[in-house]
This record gives sequence, C-alpha cells and structure tokens, in this order.
Amino acid sequence: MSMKPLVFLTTFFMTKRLASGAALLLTVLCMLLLLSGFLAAVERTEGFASAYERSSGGNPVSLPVQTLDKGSVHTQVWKATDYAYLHSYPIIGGTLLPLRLTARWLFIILPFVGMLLSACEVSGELETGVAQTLYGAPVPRSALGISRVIGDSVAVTALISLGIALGLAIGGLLVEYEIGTAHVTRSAVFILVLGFYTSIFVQLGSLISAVSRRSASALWVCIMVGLAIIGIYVSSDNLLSAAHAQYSSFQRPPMVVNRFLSSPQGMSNPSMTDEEVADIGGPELARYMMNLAAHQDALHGLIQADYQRERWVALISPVHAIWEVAQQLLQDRHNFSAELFAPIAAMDPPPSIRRSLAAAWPELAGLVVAWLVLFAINVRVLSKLEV
Amino acid sequence: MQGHRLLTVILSLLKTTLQRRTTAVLYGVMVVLTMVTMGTRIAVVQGDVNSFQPVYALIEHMTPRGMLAHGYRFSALPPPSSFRDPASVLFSESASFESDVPIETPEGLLVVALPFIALLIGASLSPRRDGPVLTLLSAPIRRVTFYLAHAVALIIVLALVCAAAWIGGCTLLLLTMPNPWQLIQLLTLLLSYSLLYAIVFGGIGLSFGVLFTKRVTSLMAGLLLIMVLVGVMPSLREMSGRTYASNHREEFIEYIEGGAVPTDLAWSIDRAIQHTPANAIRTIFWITESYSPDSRPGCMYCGSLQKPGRGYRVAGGVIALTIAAMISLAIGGFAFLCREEGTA
Repeated sequence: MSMKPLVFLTTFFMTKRLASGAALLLTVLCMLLLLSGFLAAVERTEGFASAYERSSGGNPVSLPVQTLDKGSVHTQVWKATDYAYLHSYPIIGGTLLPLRLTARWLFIILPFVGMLLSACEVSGELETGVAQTLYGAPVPRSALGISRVIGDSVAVTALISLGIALGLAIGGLLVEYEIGTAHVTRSAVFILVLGFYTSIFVQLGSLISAVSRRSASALWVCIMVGLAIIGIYVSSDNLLSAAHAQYSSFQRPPMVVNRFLSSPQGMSNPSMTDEEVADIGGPELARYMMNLAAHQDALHGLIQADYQRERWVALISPVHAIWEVAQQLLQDRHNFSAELFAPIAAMDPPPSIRRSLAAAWPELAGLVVAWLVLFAINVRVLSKLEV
Repeated sequence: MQGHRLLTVILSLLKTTLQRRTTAVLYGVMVVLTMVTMGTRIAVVQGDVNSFQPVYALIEHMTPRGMLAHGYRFSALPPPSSFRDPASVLFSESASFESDVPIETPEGLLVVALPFIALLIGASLSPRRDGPVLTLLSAPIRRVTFYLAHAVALIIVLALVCAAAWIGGCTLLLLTMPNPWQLIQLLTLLLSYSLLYAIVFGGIGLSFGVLFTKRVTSLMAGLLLIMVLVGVMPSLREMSGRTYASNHREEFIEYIEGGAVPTDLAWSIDRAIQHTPANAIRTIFWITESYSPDSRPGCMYCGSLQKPGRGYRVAGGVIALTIAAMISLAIGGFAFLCREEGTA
C-alpha cells in the first residue's frame, strides 16, 4: 500500500474533524470543566484555611475533621491525596489539584463525548450517499479505514489536549499557586493520556456506527454503552468498598501523649529523635509510640494488599483503568500513590514522573491494547463495508 | 378536531419510538443498572460503621516525629466511633419508613445518567426534516399542535424511562421496606421528581434538534449544556455556598435557625445556583429518601450549606425544575413556530 494516499486521507479525516462545529464545542467543554476545577480548588483551599482559623485557635496545621462516605481503597487514597493538597500551607500541588478535582467527572463524560462524536460518522455517510463517492475512490479500502481511525484519534486527542491546556493556562493565571515544572510535565502527560482514552471511545463509536449502519440506532447503542460504563464503574466501586478489609483505628492516646503533643517541646522541636521524645515523655509515651509504629506497619500492609487487589477491576472497567493512571500521575509526593499511608521514612527514592508511569504500566498497557484491538476491528469492518 | 389530530401524532410518534428494539434494550439497561448500583450501595451502607477513613489514617500513619514536626494534636480529633456514614445518620433520624436499613437510592447515578438519555430521546423525537415529519406537516394540522404532540410524546417516553429506573430500585427497596404503601409513596415521589428533571434535558434535546440542522452539532451543543448544568454547577454550588456562609456567617446562621431571609445580591446569586437542575434534584432526592424536611448534615467547619435547616425545601427545587422544563420545551416550540413552511 502506497503511503501517499494514506497520508492524504488521514489529513483529510483529521481536518474534517478539527474544522467541525462539534470540535469547537468539545474544546470549550473541556476548558470549562477544568476552569470549574480551578474554582473548586480555590474555594476549597480557602474553606479549609478559614476552618483552621475557626477550629484550631490559630494552629494552622490542626485538622478539622470531616466525615466521609465509605469507599474502596482507591477512593480513600484519592480523597486522602486531595486532602493532603487541600490542607497544605503554602499550597502545594500546582496544576495537579484542579485536575484532580475534575478528573473523575472527565472519566465518565469523555466516553460519551468520544462515542457521540463518531456515532453518526460512517452511518451518516451511508445514509447521505457520501460513502458511495468515498468508497468509489481509487484507493484500497483498508487505507480508508486506517486513515479514518488514525485521523479521528489524532484530532480528538489534539482537541481534548487543547481544551484542557487552555483551561490550565487561564486557571493558572487566576490562582496564586506555585506551578513548578514537575506539575506542568505531569499535567501534560496526563492530558495526553486523557486524549488517548477518548480516542478509544471515538473508535468504539465509529465501529458501532459502521455495524448499525443507521445514525439513530448508533446513537442509542452508544448511549447504552456509555450507561453500562458508568454502571460498571459505580457498582464495582461499591462492591470493592463492601469487600475490603476493615481497618481498625488505633487506641485513643493516653493523656500523657496529649499533654506532650500540646506542650511547647512537643510542638516546636521537629528534629527530636524517638529516644529524646521518650526521654522527655516517659515510658508511657515511648510505649505508645512503639505500638503506633507497629500498628502503622500492619495497616500499611493491609492497605497495599487491598489496593493491588482492586486494580484487577480495570480489566472490566475502563474508568478504573484511566483512574489508576491518574492516581499515579496527578500526585507528586510519592512513587506509588498508596504510599500516602506509609510512614514518612519510606519515601525514598524521591518521586518522579517516570516512576509514576512505571507504577501504572499495566493500566496504560491495557489502554494501548484496547486501542489496538479496536483499531484492527475497525479497519476490518470498514474495509468490508457494503455501500 | 385538532385534539384528534394531536392524539394521532402522539400515537404515531410513540409507536415509532417504542417499537424500536433499542428502546426496549434501553429500558432493560435502566432496570439492571439501578438494581445493581442500588444493591451494591446497600451492601456498603450495611457494612461496619467503623470503616477506614483517610483523614484518620493520614494522622495515624505519620511517624511520631512527623506528627510532632507538624504539630498534630490528637485531642483535636473526635473518637473513631463517632464516624457514621451520612446515610446512617439520616437513617437514625428518619424512622418514618420503618425500614431495617438506610434507604439508598442511586441518586448520583440518575443525576448523571438521566440527562444523557433524555437528551438523546429529545433529539430523536425532535421535529426534524427526516422521518415522517414532512408528510405529517402536509396534513391540516396547526404547527403548535404538531409541536405539542412531540412534547407530550417525549414526556411519555421519559416517564417510561424513569419508571424503568425506579422499577429496578423498587425490587431491592422491597427487601428493606416492609410496608408496601410507604414504598409506593416513596417511589411515586421519586418518579415524579426524576421525570421533571428528565424533561429539562429532554426539552433541551427537542429544542436543539429544531435549532441545529446537523444532528451531531445539536447533540454536542446539548452535551455542552449538560456539562455546564451537571458538571460545572455542582462545583459552583459548593463555592457559592461556602463563600456566602463564610462572608455572611452571622446572617446565614440566623437564617438557618429560622431568622430573616437575607436580601442581598450575593444571596440571590447563591439561591439561583443552588436551584439549577442538577443541584435542585440532588437536594430533592436527599430530602425525599430521608423522608425528612432537612438535607444531609454537612461540614459547618468549611461553611458548607448542607446544615439541616431552612436552606432546603423540596418545593423550591420542584418549582425551579418545573420552570426549567417549561423553558427548555418552549425554546424549541418558539423556534419551530417561527420556521418557514416546509423547512421543519
């Protein structure tokens, strides 16, 4: 197969997609969503700041406690990381926090967007007769299929990335967060993955369109597939919440611990060793801290095991697959997101984007495999399309 | 005469919509979806209440030195046993339904899923140039009657979708609610409210189908509006609520305790945001499933508006949804009536 018609057709399909009114709407849509994330981030950090003042008598790091819904370990890790950023002073996380606050909504909406974008594409061409002209062109049919899928995927990835990047740029100008290179890099990689994730559904929509041959039927089927995706996501998360181990809370600290932690020595000397703490606080405090350390280790083991077990659900839930990638990429404090619950001393070596990507490699590989499988099926179906 | 024609068009539209295989599958999907999500949620709520909470873990899992360095104080925390799932809190406060477990409706799922379904149904029922529309238009029927028929057909199809959703939920609620009469009462309320919510988005689909010539553009425009109303507005709701509560704390507390209703502009803006469709229906569901006049208790530390009190009433949300539904249907009607003959 010659490359020239393939490149020409890919450019044609890509330009067609990029120049449509729907493309503009999609870009605006992604931008709006991210800006709402910025709004939520500003409002929540300010809310927590005022809550500290009200509840802690001026101690800026005393946490106001909010009751939370139960959830899977993934949900808990996600929320705890949000909390870690929201409770930070000065605010850390840069562009990661607004992305975190909108990401779970994006995971649900983008499958719908992707499928609706392409649901009327092939069927529309069949209904209007454009397909007869298109498939009458002197190029191999497989070239048409390949170029359509690649052109659409590149265009949609570019549009999603553009919309979110615009949102990030505008939001970044509005807030006073410190935005570092690591934040920008992580955000950029995540946005690209998000675009890729959407392109999977663009392919799925195109496939449904080609198989059903009627736009109305294709739209209905796409909506039902979208609903099934939401249903699987919500139900599996509920099931995981009900199934995970019950983590016990540690005993209430004795008075001596409260007294010590509230004392000027306890509050103001971060460089104290455990031995020095024990020397000052006495044997009761030393015993308490030893037991607490053992409890932490046991609990951390349980959390890690449950977290890893929950990752298998990504095999049936695409939302969970992209969510796992977000868990790793949209945080810059740990090499593995669930380490949030580990003792601080365990944070070695320092976190990096390469390690975050490595941590999420099974899910990333799964998304690539899904894209390739759909690509192969699409090309086959489009090559054999009766016009 | 016009009444007879109206009925004929409605029946014709219903016949073509309901006879599709995809419609039957959609109803089936809704039943299974709500059944599964509701069943799994009940399993979660019935679990151990001393479940794991990240905020505790954040503190418990720091090294003692880390705690000291950050100045954490254990005494600032309530004991773990004080944790209760919000649904459990409501359950203990609402004995009206005599249920053995908290009543859990898949409100989150419906708030997100219903707009998409309704938009698509609205767009597919829109009086467009395809289908039997032109033939019907050539019949001696008033344009307003013709559009009204589409609107009525849309409402009937949406009512069936909502019924399918709640039938799925109903089967499981039977396990938790021993009194069938109360179950019927609860489901009637939930069905009516969710239908009102669905009409808002169905109307958008119907109207955009008239306004835009290309189907995909009308769907994308509808999707954008869904994103704003269902995605952005809940974020704004929190922001506006908390900002108001933190800037006008005294007035706000006085209001929720039964005092004067604030009259400033910030309050009006906040009320408007609180009553956008997704915010209104969520609050309505919370209040209805708890069978209580109050919303879920929330976090007053952060200035959250979810504190029980006068802030939320079902009536306000229902009125807001009704107005939104009427506006969304009327836009398409107005555009349709202004169209040239034969260009429907």
